[in-house]
Amino acid sequence: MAEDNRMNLGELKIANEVVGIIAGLAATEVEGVAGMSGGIAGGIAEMLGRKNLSKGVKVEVNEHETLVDLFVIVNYGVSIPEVAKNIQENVKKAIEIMTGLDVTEVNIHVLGVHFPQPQIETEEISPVQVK
Amino acid sequence: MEALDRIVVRVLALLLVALSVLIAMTLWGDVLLVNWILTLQNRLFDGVILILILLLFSLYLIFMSVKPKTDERVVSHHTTLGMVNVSVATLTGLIMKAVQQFEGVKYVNVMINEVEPLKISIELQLLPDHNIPELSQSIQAKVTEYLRSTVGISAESINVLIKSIVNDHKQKLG
Repeated sequence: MAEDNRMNLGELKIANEVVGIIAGLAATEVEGVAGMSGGIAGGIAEMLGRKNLSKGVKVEVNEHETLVDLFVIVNYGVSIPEVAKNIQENVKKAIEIMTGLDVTEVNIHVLGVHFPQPQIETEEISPVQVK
Repeated sequence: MEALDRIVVRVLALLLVALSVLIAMTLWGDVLLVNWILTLQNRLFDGVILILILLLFSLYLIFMSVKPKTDERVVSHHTTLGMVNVSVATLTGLIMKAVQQFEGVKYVNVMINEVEPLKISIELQLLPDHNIPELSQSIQAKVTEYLRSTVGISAESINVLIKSIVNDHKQKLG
């Protein structure tokens, strides 16, 4: 379904995928978000080289309201409620400014945590650490 | 198990029952199954369709067996802008990481028994020379505090089970 705004000069239609891309980009720029979770299908599409900017985003545009569901992976060590609040605010703002739609709900689904990879020391490493 | 998985399993079970009956009938002298298979030689198209259906079923079963099982339970918060759902996998990962940081912990397994209220079980393998009650209490306190600060939730119970004490072979080698 696409958002259909009638104007004097014609119609403006915004595809759900466009709203999804705006939401996805707005979510990933929030500090503490490691990425979006697009499930198995999204992972296969990415492996095949198809960059999916609306990965992990579900958009429902009704006549008077827009609902967004975001499936995210957060970085280890962040406060999830704080990051979720920042995502909700950033996504709502981005969609409303860029499309004029009225965003009523931004639901966040935290599906996982990204742990930083342990850094391998290149300097002299003792094989066994004795306490 | 999803609806489609259940349907596939039921259809396959019925097919296997039918096949068992036909084989049993063959053992007792009936040639229905043998005749039917022989007629496929003259009906190549039907045979190919049958092979494709069976192959599709088997591929689906292989896919079902390798598909990772996901726990779909979530811990939910309601905010003015919508819901925030934190998956059980996220909670498990966070708790594991928090517990692994304790000196003396060799192996951790975390299970979320219930999400509302949140009930957690932590299984541990410890290294020797650590006071188990003290370590357990510290872990419970740390997990409680960690969940409060990171996820914004409080656990109703955190049960710790010490499964075994293991030697750290690396230390011995040193």
